[in-house]
Amino acid sequence: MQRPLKLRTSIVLTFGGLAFLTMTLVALIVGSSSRTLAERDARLRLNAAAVQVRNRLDQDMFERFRDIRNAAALSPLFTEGNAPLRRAWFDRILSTYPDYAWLGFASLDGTVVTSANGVLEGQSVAARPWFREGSKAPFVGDVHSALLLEKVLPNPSGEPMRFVDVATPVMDPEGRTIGVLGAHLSWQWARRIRQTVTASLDEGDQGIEIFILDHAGTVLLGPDTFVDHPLKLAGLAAPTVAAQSRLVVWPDQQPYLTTTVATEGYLSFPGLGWSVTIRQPRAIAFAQAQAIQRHVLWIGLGAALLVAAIAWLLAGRLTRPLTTLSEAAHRIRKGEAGVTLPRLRGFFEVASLAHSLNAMTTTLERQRSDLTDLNATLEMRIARRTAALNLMQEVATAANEADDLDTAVRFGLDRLCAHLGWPVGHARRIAAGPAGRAAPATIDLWHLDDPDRFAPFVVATQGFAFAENAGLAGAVIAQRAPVWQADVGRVTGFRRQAVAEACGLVTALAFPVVAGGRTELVVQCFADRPIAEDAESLSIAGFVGLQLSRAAERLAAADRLAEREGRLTAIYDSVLDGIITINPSGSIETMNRAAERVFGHPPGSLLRRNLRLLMAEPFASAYESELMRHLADGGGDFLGTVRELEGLHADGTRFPMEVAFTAATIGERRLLVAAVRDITERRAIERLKNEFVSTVSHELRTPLTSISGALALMAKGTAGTLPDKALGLVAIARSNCDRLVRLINDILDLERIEAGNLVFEFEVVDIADLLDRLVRETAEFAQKYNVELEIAPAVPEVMVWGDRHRLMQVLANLVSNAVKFSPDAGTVTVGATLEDGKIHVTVTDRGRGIPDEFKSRIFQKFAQADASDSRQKGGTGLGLSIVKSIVERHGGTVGFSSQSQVGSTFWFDLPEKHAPLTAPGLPAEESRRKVLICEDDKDVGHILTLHLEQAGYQSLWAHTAAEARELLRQHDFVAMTLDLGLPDQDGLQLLNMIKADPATATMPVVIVSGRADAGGDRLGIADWITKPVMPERLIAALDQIRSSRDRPTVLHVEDDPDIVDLVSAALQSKADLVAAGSLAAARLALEQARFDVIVLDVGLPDGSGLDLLDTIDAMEGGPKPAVVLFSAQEPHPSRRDEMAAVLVKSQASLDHLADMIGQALTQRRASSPRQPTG
Amino acid sequence: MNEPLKRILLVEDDPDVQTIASMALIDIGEFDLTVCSSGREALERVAGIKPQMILLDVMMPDMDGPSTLEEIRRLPLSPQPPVIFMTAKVQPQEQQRYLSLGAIEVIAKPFDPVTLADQLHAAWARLDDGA
Repeated sequence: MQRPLKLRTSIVLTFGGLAFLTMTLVALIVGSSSRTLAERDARLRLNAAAVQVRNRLDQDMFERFRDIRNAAALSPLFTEGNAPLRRAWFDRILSTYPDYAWLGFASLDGTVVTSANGVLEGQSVAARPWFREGSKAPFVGDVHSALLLEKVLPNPSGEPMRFVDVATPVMDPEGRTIGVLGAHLSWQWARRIRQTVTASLDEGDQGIEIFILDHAGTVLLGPDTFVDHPLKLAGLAAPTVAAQSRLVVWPDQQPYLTTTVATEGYLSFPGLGWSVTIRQPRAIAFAQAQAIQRHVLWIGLGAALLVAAIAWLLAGRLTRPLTTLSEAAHRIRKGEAGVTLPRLRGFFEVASLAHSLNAMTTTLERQRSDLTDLNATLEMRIARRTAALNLMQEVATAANEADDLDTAVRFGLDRLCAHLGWPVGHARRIAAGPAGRAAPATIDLWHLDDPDRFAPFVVATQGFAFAENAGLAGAVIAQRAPVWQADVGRVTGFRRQAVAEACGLVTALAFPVVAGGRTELVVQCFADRPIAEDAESLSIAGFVGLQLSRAAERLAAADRLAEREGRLTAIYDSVLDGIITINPSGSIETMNRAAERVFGHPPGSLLRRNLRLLMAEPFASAYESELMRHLADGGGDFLGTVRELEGLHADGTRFPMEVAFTAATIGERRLLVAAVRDITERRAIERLKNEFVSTVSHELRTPLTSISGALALMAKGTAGTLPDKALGLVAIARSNCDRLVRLINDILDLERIEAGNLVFEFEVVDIADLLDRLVRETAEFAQKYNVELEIAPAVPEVMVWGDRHRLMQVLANLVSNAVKFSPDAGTVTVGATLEDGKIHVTVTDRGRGIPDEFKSRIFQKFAQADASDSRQKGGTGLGLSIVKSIVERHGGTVGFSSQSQVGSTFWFDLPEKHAPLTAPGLPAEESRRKVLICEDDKDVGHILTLHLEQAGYQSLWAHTAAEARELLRQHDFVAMTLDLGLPDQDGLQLLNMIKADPATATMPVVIVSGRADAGGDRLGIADWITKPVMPERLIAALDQIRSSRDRPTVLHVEDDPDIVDLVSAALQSKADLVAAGSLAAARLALEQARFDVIVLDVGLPDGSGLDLLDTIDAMEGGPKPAVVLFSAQEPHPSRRDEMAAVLVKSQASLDHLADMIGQALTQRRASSPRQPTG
Repeated sequence: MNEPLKRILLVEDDPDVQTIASMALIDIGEFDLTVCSSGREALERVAGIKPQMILLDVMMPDMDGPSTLEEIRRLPLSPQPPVIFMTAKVQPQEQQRYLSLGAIEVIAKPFDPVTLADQLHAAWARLDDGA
């Protein structure tokens, strides 16, 4: 930034500059005027000189011309004989005017008669111009060299001699020309004139030079270098009579002021046409003008300087007070002491300014001192506040971080005493007294600046217990707030007054540390001087107390938590089951000891590892996918289910374990808790139990076999006839033996059902059929008790999905019970009803009913209403338990109703299995079956159509053979009727065509004709019906065709040829059977033909028959064959659904198999319309 | 096998059961019965006896029924006689297992000696039908 100009400098520069500008302007104007004037003066001077030279030349020439003419006019002088006189006169003239070089008179013939000094007398001048011209008229000749005279005249200068001629004719008084008078003027004449003028002009060295030029511009006279040369100057006008001057650059390249003027003659003298040119160097010519200009400039400059000097002085005077003010202000600003602004007089404005500044300065000075004071106060307060804040922060931090309360309290005490500057601080723990009251404490914490000095105080303090309601501690405990005592000597109940006084302790500050609503500690600080109560210190003390209270609360809570955690951990680690918590990603967060023990891993080694590491394959993968599914939708039975799987021990062995997952939410986190139990031992026990049961059953049965066999043989008399009494005893033994066997069987059954080990063979069971069989099989038994067994009317045709034999067992049990508890000649009714899609099967007796007190126990094991029943009725007491278990395994429910002395009804419900109806009627699929009627007789055609439609066929009627062919092309027919007598073609010819066409070759054709049967077999005719048509016959024929064509094809996949033969024999009447001995053969057969049913063996030489299921799944087009598994093995339950039926070899009869195949076929037909095969 | 069932081999370790079965089969069934007390004995004698049918107890010391059957099937017998197991283990799985071993029938113990012969005849007849 540019520094501003000083006021004084500014004034000086302004005025000096103005003066300088003015003076310069004046000098320029004056100088210019003076110069113009001087130049004009120089020009005039030169002009005048030129005119003077010219005039002198003209005048002199005129005088000489006049002289000569005057002389010629003196005719006597030129008369003959006057020659001496003439000569004398001539001499006289020559002597008086020295510029005449020669003077003479020549006669007309040109001979010089007389001359001055006799020069050239006698010589001829006839050729001379002056003579020739002069003889005619007065003549003045221009300057020239004189050839004749040069030789005779003396030439002192040595220059070439030049002359100007003047001549005039001389006449006699009669006016006749007698001769010519002529004179030569010497060139010295002109030179003299020039010198004279030059001398007059060129006073001093004015550099003026004069040139005389002839009419052609050649220099006649001038500086030697110019003589005889033409003078050509650019810019110089031709000479005129009036003089004119110019500045002209001459050949020496110097500017000269140049004046030129022409001669003009004088009176009768015409002039020679010369001109005069005068030059003067410009510098000299204008020297004066320039001198004037310079002079004026110098004067101007001087004047300007003078003005500037005056301005300087003036400005100094003007700015002096301001400078003084400025300097004073500057010094004040620099903070020099004792400087005041001067009181200035003189200019009003300055005085006013100074006054104002003075006032302002005073104000500012006062404010500054105020600010300084304020600043100092503030800084002090900030320092104190900062110290307090630091203290608070440190105490808070220490309280937060302290691991025990003493550390925190000691820190707080030290810092507080240091902050206050008090020498003694003391904290005492208030022990919990009876009923939560404060009681004497044992723990003291001290802050002592000077232990020796305050030792008595310490001793005194330790020597007494804090009173609850008195003294400082009492006040603090009562108020639960900081207490300030400016003088402890005045506190009532302060028992250390004396020793405090002795130690010089005066002021006290005390505050409580409270935790759990109880004052844990009282902290006291003592000052050795009286200090008035200070709100800030109190607040700090309160804060410290609060922080320590929080620490106390926190530590107490931490203690409680640690204790609880320890207890929980102890429980957690002491349970027998493994407990593992995992996060949702599956990694292990905690494991209890039992879990570590179960898996044999070192403690902590599995943390953050995935739980699946603890499971054997394939369970690990299954678990993982289940976990994923659970996490994805939260559903499934992942949680809460106890699953059995194989765990993986650290040593790599697998062991059975039970795992149950439950979810837990801790804070925001979801955790899964896995409870793990090693069930190796349980498995072992189960195995032992199974073996035991198996063994027991064997060991019990073996003797029973002998006993019962022996008794049977005895009873039969094989060992000889027994007496009746013995027979009676044998009968008793036999029946009890049977009962024992039943009991053993029931026990085993029940055990297996409950253990889930009983295998059920589910199939479609017809309830009505079941009841029929039940009645048949139990009739004998009922008869024994003289009880009639009946089936209720209107048993619906319903199917259930169940195990036929087990259901029979259920019903037999119920009937057995009913019969046993029926009165003599009573009736037991079995019935079934369909209610809400459930089959309700009932067994009703009309016995004495079930006692109320027994109703709740009736399905329990060994439950019998009367302890004697078991013996009386021969029951085991397990029957209803078995019933309940079996029904529940079927997804059903079991129950009873009973009325005393009226009877009981036991029932069970099973869900209905929707099986296709095979009832008579018109199955829907057949409505699409088309039959072509080819018949020309309208009545017959109508009758056929009607009958076929009634029978469920769709008929199309062709009246001619052509129409028939057309319809055959457009439709697929299952069969056709053909009249042989057609209008356009013989029926047999049409038949031949039909049989010849591969598309229709297999279609059965029924001949309906008036003709008698004429070798239908040969023609490939299905049937031959003669008119008049009997509709039953026709339909029967068609149905038979259809049924024969509907013979199902069965693929029997079986490697045992004997079984193939057996099955083939069994199915012969019902189906066409293709056998395949291996998987490969089966696949080949499936490629080549379409089967309705596949009977599948599992154990095949080249793999499992179940693999074929995939091949069947992959089959395209048309309905897939139904699969009946006929194997020694049962398939995995997961594959059950893919099969229509599962039969276990040797268990199921071939009839059973045939039934199954028939059912599979029916189901399949119902689910998918069969493709036309014609 | 149109030949009527006559020669039967009973393999049974329990002497009481032997007695009962013998009475049932000889006295009632009028079969030509040979009784062996162990699987080994049966293996040694079966070729000589050429039974039309073998009645085989399952639970026997040393060599049980299934093992005996297996060994018999290895013998160069022509024809191999059909085998019926007799067992006190009558659970369905057990029965299936015995059938899968190649027995044509499983007779549960305790059996009814009065009808035992009839059962054998019936089984024999079924074999005939099957063939």
